[in-house]
Amino acid sequence: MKNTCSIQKARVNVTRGLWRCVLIRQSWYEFAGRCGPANSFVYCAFRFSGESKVVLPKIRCLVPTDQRFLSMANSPILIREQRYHQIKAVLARLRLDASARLVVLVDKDGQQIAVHGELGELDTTSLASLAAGNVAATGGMAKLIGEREFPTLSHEGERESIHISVIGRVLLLVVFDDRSSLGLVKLRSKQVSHELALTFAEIERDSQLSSSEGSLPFGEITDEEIDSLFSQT
Amino acid sequence: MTFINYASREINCKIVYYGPGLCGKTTNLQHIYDSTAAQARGKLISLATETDRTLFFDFMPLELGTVRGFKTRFHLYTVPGQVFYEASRKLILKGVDGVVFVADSQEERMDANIESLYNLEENLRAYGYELMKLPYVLQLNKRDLPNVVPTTDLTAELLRKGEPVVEAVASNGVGVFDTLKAVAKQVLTELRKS
Repeated sequence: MKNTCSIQKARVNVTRGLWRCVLIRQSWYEFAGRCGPANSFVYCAFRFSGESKVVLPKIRCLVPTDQRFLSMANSPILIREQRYHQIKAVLARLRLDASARLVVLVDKDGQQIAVHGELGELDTTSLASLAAGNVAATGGMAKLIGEREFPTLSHEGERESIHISVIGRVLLLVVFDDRSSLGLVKLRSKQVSHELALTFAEIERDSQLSSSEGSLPFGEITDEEIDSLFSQT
Repeated sequence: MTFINYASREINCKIVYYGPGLCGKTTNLQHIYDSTAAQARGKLISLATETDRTLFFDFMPLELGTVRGFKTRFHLYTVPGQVFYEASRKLILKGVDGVVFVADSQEERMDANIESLYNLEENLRAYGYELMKLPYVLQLNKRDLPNVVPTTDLTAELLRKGEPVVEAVASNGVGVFDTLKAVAKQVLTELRKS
């Protein structure tokens, strides 16, 4: 048995509504992409398995109508230990290669996923939320002028600077100082973006599987446990 | 979008306070911030104008406690209520797990409430959400003012699906935690279902 992976960047062509990718000859591949807004780029990961010859899947984009698809928009994201450590290893390597102070992976909704580097007193939760707001605002500006999105953002300060790369539905945020340079940070960020996209696509696939199998850890949470949270505050 | 991190044993959820301009969304967050222990909450970030009107959003992370060995952290956001901030208001709803609609109980703000609620439903639909299926609480704020609409009339206009309704005076904290508790409970219950 041979197992290989491929990652592709797909453009969504529909002009309205949400979309999903549909693979031709689906039995050959396992799809790990995710729903997203129309007219956007996405990364789709495919796992090929079995003895069949590997053929790159063709992607067709459709406007979905079924309710199951819509509910995916709000299914929880589960990060297992193994994936988390995979991400942390990539961030550690990036931090070293880019001579950066700090590297943070953030979900586009503002949730911090992982962080590596010199934290000090830095409030990374707020940083994550503001970075997501920043990308959302500039993304809105991009659309107004007819661009799909701005894939990278840079803010240069006197001593500290920030570079943000948009990788599918996650943001890679690098904080650096004069030990590094914007060019180096851009280059190194780009080098790891495919790897992170692939990992995150697999995280989403795992999450959807766990959701559909009902294997989330809170399936049996009781009302008493929920109520007790509020007495702890 | 709820995030469950097995490595750090954390659940992160996003709650958005929505409503017309000057209805008390930021006041709700300010009261939560002032009333919770420093170790349970992060900084309150306010992206506001010089006149203290919300320009983009307010944000505050709040840790409620532990359930099944997982720390539950709620990220509380407000949207800018003023009509002309529509573009940024819509952005904040992305990935939302629960919504609080803060209604201004004053008679002259009734139309603004209805318009804002309609706007909420529209903006949610743009992201593939349905208000009817989302954890949702209706807060009737400013109940201490003299010119308020009776709660029966307000709920008749604003109630969407039999959601919890909380009467509040956010400026002195009345109903603020009841509202938060009602929406957080629904978010966690939703997690149980998924």
